[in-house]
Amino acid sequence: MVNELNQFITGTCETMCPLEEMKMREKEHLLHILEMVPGTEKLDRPLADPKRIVKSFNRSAAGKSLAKKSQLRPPEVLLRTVNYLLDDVIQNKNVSWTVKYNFIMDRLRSVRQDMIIQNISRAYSICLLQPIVRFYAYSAYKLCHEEIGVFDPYLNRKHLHECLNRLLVIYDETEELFQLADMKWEHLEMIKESRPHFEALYIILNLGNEVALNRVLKISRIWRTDVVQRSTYIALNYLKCNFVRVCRYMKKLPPLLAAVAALHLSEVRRKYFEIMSVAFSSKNLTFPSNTLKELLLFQSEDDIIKDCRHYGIQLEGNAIRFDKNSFNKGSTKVHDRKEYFIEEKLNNMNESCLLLVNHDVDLYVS
Amino acid sequence: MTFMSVSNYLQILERAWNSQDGAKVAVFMSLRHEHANWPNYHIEKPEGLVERFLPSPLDELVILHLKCLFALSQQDYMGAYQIQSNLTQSFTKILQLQKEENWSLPIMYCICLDLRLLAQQAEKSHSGVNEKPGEILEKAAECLMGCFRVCAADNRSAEEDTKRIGMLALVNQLFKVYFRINKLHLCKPLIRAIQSSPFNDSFSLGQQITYKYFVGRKAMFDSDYKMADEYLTYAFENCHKSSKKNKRLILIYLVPVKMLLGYIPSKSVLEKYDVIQFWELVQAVCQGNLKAFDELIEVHESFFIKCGIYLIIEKLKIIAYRNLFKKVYHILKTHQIPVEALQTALVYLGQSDVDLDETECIVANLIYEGKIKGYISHQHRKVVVSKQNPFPPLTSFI
Repeated sequence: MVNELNQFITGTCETMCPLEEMKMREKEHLLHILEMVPGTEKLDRPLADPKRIVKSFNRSAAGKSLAKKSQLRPPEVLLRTVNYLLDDVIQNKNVSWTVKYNFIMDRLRSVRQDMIIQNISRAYSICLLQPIVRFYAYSAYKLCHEEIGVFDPYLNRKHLHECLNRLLVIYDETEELFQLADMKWEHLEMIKESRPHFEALYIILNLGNEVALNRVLKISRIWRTDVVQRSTYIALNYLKCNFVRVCRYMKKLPPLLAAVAALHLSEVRRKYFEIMSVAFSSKNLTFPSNTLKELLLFQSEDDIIKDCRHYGIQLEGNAIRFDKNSFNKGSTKVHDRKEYFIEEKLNNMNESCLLLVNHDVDLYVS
Repeated sequence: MTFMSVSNYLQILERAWNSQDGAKVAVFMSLRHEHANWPNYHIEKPEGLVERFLPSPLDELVILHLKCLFALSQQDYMGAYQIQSNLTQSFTKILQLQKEENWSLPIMYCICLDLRLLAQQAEKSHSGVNEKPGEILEKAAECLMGCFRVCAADNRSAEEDTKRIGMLALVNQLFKVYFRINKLHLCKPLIRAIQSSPFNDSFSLGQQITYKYFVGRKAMFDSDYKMADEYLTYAFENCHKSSKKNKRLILIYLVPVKMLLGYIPSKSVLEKYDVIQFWELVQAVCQGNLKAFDELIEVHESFFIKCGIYLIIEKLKIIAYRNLFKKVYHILKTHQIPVEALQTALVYLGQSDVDLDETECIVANLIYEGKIKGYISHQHRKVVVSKQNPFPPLTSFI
């Protein structure tokens, strides 16, 4: 058991992509558009740009060894790679967001693979996983309105859960370091600052899941900062189906958390519509759609009309007529859409700052 | 003065083993039995001595047992755990070879219980910086699963000889581990194995109570309150009246479940079992006193969280809302209750930032769940409640 540490190898590849892979992919026409030397894209054989090419994800398969020193990037190079992807690539204005997403997602997967094969230290794992988690969380919202052929929310969420769960496990493992008063580890400060944000993300991502809520109730008090408390509060109100309050507090979350929370909105609206169909059921009374727009954070009355049609709820001019018999119980929730209040929050934000910088209290919008 | 000599001890063990007296062997293989404390049993290398007295396969077990006692005498819990783990594995192999007989099950119960207790000790002593919490217990659970598989697979023996009767004791040990390391999802296949077992009534009462207690708690976490009620009630009613500590443990979960289903526990029961913390909560819920409710949640927060009942207590607030609104209805004596009146009541009881729309949301939920009969007129800002039985008794739902 003791010597297991020595069984992991440390890579020697000093570039984002091993030389061998670069040559191979150039030869086999396997370069991504973002990896070609600008100007050579249209050539028969585009050239690989050594400054931009990144090791791609390779499935492990029988008879193929992934553990070759020359093919593996040591932690510092992985960190550089993640920064390149989430800074340079994400700011690229020449290609669409979905193209960037697919490229970054694949390359981050290979980063994770290198991490695991080399069993890199906790400190590095945290530094790498934090921006990766933010990227998946942000993409989940950014591309939520896309068709399934363009963006697979299920797969994205799977990656998000895997990375976030791994991150939380590492946080738990470093927990005791915080109890040793004389412990000096430069990364402790970093964890102290960033961990609450990810604990909050975990709650918001898993809204309605009691296991997730129980986790946050049990973590040490030092992590229950303002943002964690707010998120817990939202989750508790979600549990009690107080959707009016859930929506109100959702608006007050910092940008990335609010974006993830907004992914629950179509479900929240569906649930509240169903409840209202019973509680406000009447042959001659109506509910003004304007009020509902405010309560459930709809962008426009158009969106309300779309939702109501979808769920079989009747409309009368600017008002909604709820009827417990007309609500379509078998209906699935409507497709996620971008939400205006999130767009407002994100509008004046630099994407790479959002993903790479540990957030601070000054980003709160109240 | 010493306890009986080791050679004497070995002779007793051999006789008990030969006459297939599982209970007696179990006693003398227990780490909790008197002999475990005597220094003459703390032997570093017991092989020579034991092999002189005992035949195979008993010798192997006893050698490991004595080694474990030695490790314990050195306060080496990690080492003791490792040895007990080897002992359990050796025993599993022997058990598997004993076809059509189950006399040795008491030994299994004893070894497995000791293994879990040791794993807990080892966890405590081993909480270093580089260790993963729960790892040792998880390993111990794997070991217990080995025994469980042997028992569960014994489907050829006649009913009186079947090892399957030993399953429940192991399941209970595994539950204890899984609840401790917070891996409740692993309980599911075990529950299925027990539910499909034909020996449900042959399991001992004590084991059944433990089983029901854990399955009840699991159901509570899964929000299946009806099942939680059924299982925990069984456990509470059948638990022996002298086991006050256990009855108290059961009540900690049964009380909130019952309250959520609309029952009110009596003060005397809460007092008797020292869970009086709940009494004020019961009163707050019954009176619809949200202010007191919020304060109590804050005061007892760590107790509720530690027991894992915080969320279910939070849900009791819905019942408190219902009781409060019922009060307002009785005071106003009208079937058309202004939403504003309800809001005023909420604000008065400390829910300071609640507005009319949120009040309607709270009422809407109660109507949706059938806890209030009626409808809301948003235009008139009135809750119109049924003339007959507008607040049906909570117990009528389940």
